[in-house]
Amino acid sequence: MGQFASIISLTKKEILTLTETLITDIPTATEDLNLITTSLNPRTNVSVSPPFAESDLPDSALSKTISKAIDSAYLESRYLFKAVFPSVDLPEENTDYGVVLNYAPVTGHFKSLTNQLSLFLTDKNLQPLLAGELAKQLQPQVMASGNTPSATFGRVATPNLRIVDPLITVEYLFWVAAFGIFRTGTINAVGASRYAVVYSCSAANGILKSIIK
Amino acid sequence: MENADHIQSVQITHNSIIAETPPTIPLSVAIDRATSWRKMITSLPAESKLPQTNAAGDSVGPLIPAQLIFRAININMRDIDLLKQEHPDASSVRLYMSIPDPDFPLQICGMLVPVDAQNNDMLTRSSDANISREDMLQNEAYSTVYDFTQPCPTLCNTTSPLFDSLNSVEPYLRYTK
Repeated sequence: MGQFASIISLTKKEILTLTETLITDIPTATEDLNLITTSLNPRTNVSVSPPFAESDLPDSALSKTISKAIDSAYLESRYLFKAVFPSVDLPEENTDYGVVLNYAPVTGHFKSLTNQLSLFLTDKNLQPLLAGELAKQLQPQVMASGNTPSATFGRVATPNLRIVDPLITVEYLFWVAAFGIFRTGTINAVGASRYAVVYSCSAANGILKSIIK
Repeated sequence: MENADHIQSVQITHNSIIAETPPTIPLSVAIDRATSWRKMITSLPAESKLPQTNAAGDSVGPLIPAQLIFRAININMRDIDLLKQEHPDASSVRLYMSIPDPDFPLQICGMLVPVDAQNNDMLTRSSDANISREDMLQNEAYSTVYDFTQPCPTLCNTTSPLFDSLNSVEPYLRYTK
């Protein structure tokens, strides 16, 4: 799928620098990144600060454009998490964000996404063993999104299940991801593009109860 | 009383007819309709002051970017349940299109409004003599206009054949071979 420049393993400055280094067609990348910023803009204020609103980051125009797009993805995933799963508490630190460098999707190939999600879930004391199932749900959505910045959500059941007749209590890992694919340059003279993905993924555990009938 | 009984009887008959013949359309028709919608949207100019035209009179102005094609509105089922609980007397729900932030004109959202048996929008809750007109207009506590929808983009099912006709329909056919 590509290499993850993630806040879990890199600093914000490193994410921006690595992404900037990769971009060879600045006007095209800027155009796509601005569209991601516009599209993933949450429609209401989110009660957390965007991660890149800091003064010690690189101050090139391209760097600012990248950081704005990541900020939008971050805010959108958090906004949608609360909208889709209002009863699940999302701790402030439970959001991974960054850029997938050299994005090259292959149908059914979840390895690098699974590895990244496993790292994320481990880092947040969630269930890393569910990373494969989450990747299986998320990867096709990113692939099919094409040039439309999008968001999707899902849930994966954890092994924590309790039955106290007549009540069944199941713990789930609830997740929301926001992402936007952008062009970084051209591969060859024919004009085939290289791509990267701005992304943000929020996840938290929650409980669903149902009554045995 | 006779009239009331008659009305009740008609409603039951009406409901039972609806239950037997749900107003669905074939999936292939739905895919065609969604495709036509996307084609229509992409032919619109991106700004209201456009279109710019060429010598032949054809629109050549900047079109709505493919990334921003408005496709759908997602509504949480529990919110519909809540609306039904709060307005048991509503006969239908009307979805108004809206733009929450004029700076983002393509982020289109829906506003759901319960509709009474006379086709009137139910825009405020039961009247209260102590509530001012200003409160009725400005305070969400007195409003029955629901804003819990999420547009696509961004909240999409990007693998759906309704999102893009190039997507495979197979994963969505829940049949047993």
